[in-house]
Formats: sequence, structure tokens, C-alpha cells
Amino acid sequence: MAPKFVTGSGVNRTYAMVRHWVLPNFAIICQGGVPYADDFSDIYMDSEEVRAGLDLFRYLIVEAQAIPSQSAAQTMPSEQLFITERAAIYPMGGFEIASLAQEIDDWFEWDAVLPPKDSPDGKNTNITYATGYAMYKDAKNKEAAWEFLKEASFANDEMAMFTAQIGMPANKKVANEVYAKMSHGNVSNALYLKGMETSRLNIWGGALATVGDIWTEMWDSVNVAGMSAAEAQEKYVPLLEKEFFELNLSK
Amino acid sequence: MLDEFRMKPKRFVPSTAKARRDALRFYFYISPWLIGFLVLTLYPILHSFYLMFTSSTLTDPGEFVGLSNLYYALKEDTRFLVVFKNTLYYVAMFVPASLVLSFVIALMLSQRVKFLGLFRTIFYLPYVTAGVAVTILWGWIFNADYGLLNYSLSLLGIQGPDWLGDPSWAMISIVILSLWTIGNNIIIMLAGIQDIPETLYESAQIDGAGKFRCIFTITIPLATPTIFFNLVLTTIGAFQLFTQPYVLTNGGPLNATRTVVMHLFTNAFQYGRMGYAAMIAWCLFVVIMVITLIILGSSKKWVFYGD
Repeated sequence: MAPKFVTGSGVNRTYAMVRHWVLPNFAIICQGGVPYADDFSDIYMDSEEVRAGLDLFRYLIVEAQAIPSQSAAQTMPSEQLFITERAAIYPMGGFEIASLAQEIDDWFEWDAVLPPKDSPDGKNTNITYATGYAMYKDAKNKEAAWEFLKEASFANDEMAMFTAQIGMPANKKVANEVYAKMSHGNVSNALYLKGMETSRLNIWGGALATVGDIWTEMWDSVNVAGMSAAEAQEKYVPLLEKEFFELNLSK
Repeated sequence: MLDEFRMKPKRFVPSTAKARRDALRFYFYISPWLIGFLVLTLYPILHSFYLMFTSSTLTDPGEFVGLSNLYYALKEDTRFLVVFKNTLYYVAMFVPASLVLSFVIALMLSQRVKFLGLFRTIFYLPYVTAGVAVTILWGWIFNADYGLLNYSLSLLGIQGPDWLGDPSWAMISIVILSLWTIGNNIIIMLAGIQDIPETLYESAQIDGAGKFRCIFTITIPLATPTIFFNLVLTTIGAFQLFTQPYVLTNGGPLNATRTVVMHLFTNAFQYGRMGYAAMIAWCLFVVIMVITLIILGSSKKWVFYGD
């Protein structure tokens, strides 16, 4: 389907999809793959589903050229490719939809949809990037810190109202009653709230950054160096596993 | 005989109240620099030396681990040798190219031509422009699909490479971008070239030497102290490459542009491994020191001071 959106060449080229920073993570789950156990006790990056996801993106980037090259993605803001109609599909985060709507204005017709399901009767494959607060384990006044965290993150309706202007607040009441009723262009924020039901938290975020960097190399080895997904798994999964288990996150 | 009449520096010992006041005032005036040096330079250097032997992280002072960080770098860290190789590759390309180019441009700028001031400003301007802004601008120029460079090449019937997306071209692209900011080298070269006495050229011309002959037998030999100075500073600076690959490629594709300082930064501020990052910093220091000493040692053979 995606290659059908591809037209032109050189400076007139239009791609099916923007090469976006979420795509490497999206490749892991788009065919039903699971990166690791929820309690971090195991890692499943050698699965057939992960291989299928990598193969799909290798096809879209390398063979069908439906997604821009590495340099096009890194040197030109990806949303610029979308708003200038050089890319038909943009992986649009909830936090950026207001500014995109403003830039596109009525230049062309557009809409947002949830990502495809990982199988015909499976779940939508969404990724959530959460911004939150943390407390030192050696904090001197944990009760006061916890009170502040609660207020700042979800208990204070007034603060959540401000958050709702730029992104989805953790305060459920404000998320349902205020955020979900806002819209930008044709897109209602309710879509993002619905997407949360089946979303997976940023796969290599926070303490997993070291493992994520190895995953980026694995992704590049397929989409830049021309390795097959199976070869990449053979080479990189042992490295991913080693780094993952050294982090000891399940303890 | 003359040596006896030369002034010899004497050690200053404040003996009178006025001299002591002067000394106090002297230290008071230099105290902002002195405090800055002690707190922001000397202390971090000494502390990083200690950190190198610890498992310190951003949130935990860690414990003494001896040479474990070095062992990890050489045996476990698959990127450690790669980043040194990449950095050396960059230095080997950028330093000679920078010296040759800055010498040639300085030579041209030393001629008496119209709008000389304007040309000098044009060549110096990129040096004083913010590094990140210049890098982002070049990112657009290097863009494989929409970039100015590949578009210009296409007008000549050449299909340009994926400058930043192809591992074999990515570091070359960064060298090209870095060469755009050699304005400071040009100014130093220019000063060195202009310092050469005009009489030498006049004598050579009377003897029948042409322009190229003058360049190779007068300008280059007498500019060697300046070339040497630029060589040392450019080499040290090149080993510290960070901004361009960090902004343009984030070390990719496939670690082709990941440099030592990027690896240090990633370990310190993304992974929080301060002890390990300190070890990388000291390894880089040793490499820079060895190469600088080699350059200094070789200078006796090729730097001509004219005495």
C-alpha cells in the first residue's frame, strides 16, 4: 500500500511516510512483537514477530523507498516533509498536533487515524512517551516530595488544565473532560485518549537507553548496511540480551 | 661578551610595604581568573583523574574499582576502539586539508587586490558563526534528496551520494563541513605570511625567480613556524570533534561518525557512567599528548625559524 503514495524523484520526490524517530521502536511491535517482559525479567528481541517488523521496514525504506533515507530524515525536520506534501503519512504525536494543524491550516486536507493493528483481531500498536517526575530514593522528606509529585502530576485539576493545552495530562478527570474534547484541525484529542488503551510505553526510554542504542545499530544494519533481519538478529540479539540483563531491572 | 649586559629576570620579592600592597593588588586583580582556573579547570581535572578509577554514576559516588573501567573499555565496550578509529580517521583527513586550504587562501588574501577587506571578512565569518547553526545549515545542503549539493551535482549529470546516510561518506561530509570554519587558521597563516620581509621576494625576483619559485623557496619555508603552530592547535581541536556529528548524524550511520568525545558525552550524560566517561577522557588526553609530542619532536626537522 505505502509505495502507492510515492511519486517523483530528486527535489520533487514525495514519500509514502516520513522517516520518524519513533519508527525503529514501532518496527518491534507492528507485527505483534514484544521487546521484553513487563517485569523486565526477560527479553524477546529474537522473536519472529520482531524479525517480521524489521523486514517490513527494510522493505519500505530500502526496496520500495517509501520512507526517506537516513540523511533526509536527519537533516530535514520530518514534519517539514509532511507539511510541504513531500510525505503522505506522518507519525503524529499528540504533543505536536496543535503546531502542525496551525502550519498546515487549510493548505491541504488531512486527518489522523490510529496505527494499524498488529493482527486482524489484535490491538492497535501505539507507543506512549511519558514525561514525569521522580524522587530520589534517599530523599530526606519523602512525604513532602510525594505530595508535590501528586499535585504536579495528577491531583491538581488546575495544573492539569494547563497541561491539557499542550498534551495529555495524567489527571484522568481533566484528560476525559477537557483534553479529549479539544481538537486541532479535523483531529480530536479523543483519538489519542483511545490510543492510550493499547499503547506501550517508550520501549527503550530511561534506564534502557544503552540497550536502545544497540537496537538503533541493529536497525541501521538492516536499513543502511543491507543486512537481512535474520542476520541482524543473529549479530545483535546477544548484545541486546547482555546489556539488558546487566541492567538488572527486574530486581 | 654581550651576554653580560643582557637583562636577567630577577625573582620578585616584595620587601617594602608598597611592594607588598602592589603584590596584593596584583593577586586581587587576577583572582577572578585564578578562582575560575582552580574551581572550573584544575579541580575538575584532578577529580576526573580520581573518577577514572571509580564506578561513579550521576547519582552515586560509586567505589574504587582500580583499572576495571579500562578493562571494560578494551574487552567489553564494542564502541571504544571504533570511536578512536573514527576520530583518527577524521584527524587524518581534516588536519592536512585544513592546513593546505588555509595556507592557499591566506596566500591569496595576502595579495594586493580590490575588496581585500571584504574577502577577509567573508572567510572569517563562518568561524564566528554559531557552530550548531552552521551545522544545521550544512545538514540541509547535504540532504540526499532535497539538498543544494546533490541538486548542483545533478545539473552536471552526477548523482550525488547519500552524504550523511552512507557510512563511507558520512565522515567525509563532516570533514567538508568542518573545512568551512577554518577562518581562524587563515588569519593566523595570513599574519605569518605577511611577516615575511618583502626584501627577500625582491632579491629573488632580481635573481629571476618566478611566483611559484618564490612560494616554494621563500613563503613556505618562512611560514613553517606558523604552519607548525596551526598544526598543533588544529590537531588538538580535531581530536575533540563533537558538535558536527552530534547535531548532524548523532554518531550514525552505524557508528561511522561516532567520535571519542561523543562516546564520552553519551556515557557521562545519557548513561550516567561518570567513572567510565572520565576514563575515556583520560585516554583521549594521552592520545592527544603523544601525538602532540611527536609533532613537537618532528618540528626540529622541518620548522625553519630563520636564525
